[in-house]
Amino acid sequence: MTHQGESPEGRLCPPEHVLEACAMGHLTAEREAELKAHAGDCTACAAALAAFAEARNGLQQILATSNELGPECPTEDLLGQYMDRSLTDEAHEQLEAHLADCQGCLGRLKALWDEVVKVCDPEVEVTVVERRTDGELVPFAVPVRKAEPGAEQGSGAREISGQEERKGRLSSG
Amino acid sequence: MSCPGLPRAEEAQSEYPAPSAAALLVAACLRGEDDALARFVNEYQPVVHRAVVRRLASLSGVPPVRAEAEDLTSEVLERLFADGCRRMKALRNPDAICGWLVALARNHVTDHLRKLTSRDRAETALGAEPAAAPATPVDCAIAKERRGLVLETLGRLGAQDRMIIKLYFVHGMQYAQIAGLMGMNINTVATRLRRAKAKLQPLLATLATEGGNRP
Repeated sequence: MTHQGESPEGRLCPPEHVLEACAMGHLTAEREAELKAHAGDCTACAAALAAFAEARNGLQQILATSNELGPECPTEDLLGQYMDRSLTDEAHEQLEAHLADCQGCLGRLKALWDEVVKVCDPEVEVTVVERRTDGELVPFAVPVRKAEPGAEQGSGAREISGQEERKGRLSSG
Repeated sequence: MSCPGLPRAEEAQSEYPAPSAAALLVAACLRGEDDALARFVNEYQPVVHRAVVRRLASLSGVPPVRAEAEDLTSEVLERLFADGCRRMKALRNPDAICGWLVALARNHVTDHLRKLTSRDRAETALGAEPAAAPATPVDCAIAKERRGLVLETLGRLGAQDRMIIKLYFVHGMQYAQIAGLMGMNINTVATRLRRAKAKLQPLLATLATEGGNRP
């Protein structure tokens, strides 16, 4: 599938991983439009894009068949604790073994992850409404966190190093 | 910051307490220190509240009423504090608790709506949640044999590699997101995905060929 050429207009073809990212929908809209325009002129890139998309669809169809939840499926709190790296090593590995084969639970984990990102993102507006005495509904924005002067800044770097440590323990074990 | 679920872009602007501060706070709650619960509420009530409001909105389809959302938020926190914060004892990594808090909040709202509405209505609402993986109907054009072959190859990968493959292909997640979700370095995700794809590649290529021939 690898090809390195130029389109008739003389533009260099993008590398394969960029074509794949495009087929997966991971590029910005602007970059995607640019690449698709190129694929319009370049049959090799168009074929590569179509192949990635078909492979993805094929895998999706094969994997998306078993998403019924069973009695052995974890509760949502357990999925939350997994995301927080709060399970014991044994429970963590057990859950990953389950997630790897249970499409339904993997979907639940992904949905919970998306939700946590939105809940913690100050850019995402969350509003409630209250009925005033005159009957009109007034919206209120729910803040991500109460303003508190002098609040400590988190240390993302420390947390990531901790996760890597944990990862090391898991893969070496 | 206390939410591993956040992508890097958001980490910079996060105002959650430093890991040690969050862990100290949980420890103080477990010891039953005087102001610990008040501090916990001050720190995490907004996260729980936002999670409650978003869940209420997504299940009912309308913006939630302030008082109801506030009551539910208090209930979630009260349940957390019950029996000397018994539920917090399960946390092995109190530095990060947002995932857990959001999960508890979502559960609580679900239970609340189940009690409120008739069984049918609740189920309809729950069925509509975006949590379920998109169930693409199996295309009959895919031979059973090839399907078996793909599953067998996947089965030979480790659990984490299978998770990575599925999160990437089926759920459309990007490397950085997978890294955050699974607590891995982004390079590890890239390497593992590359190796797993190499094993699957011949099969993927046949899927692509067959797909291309489909009407």
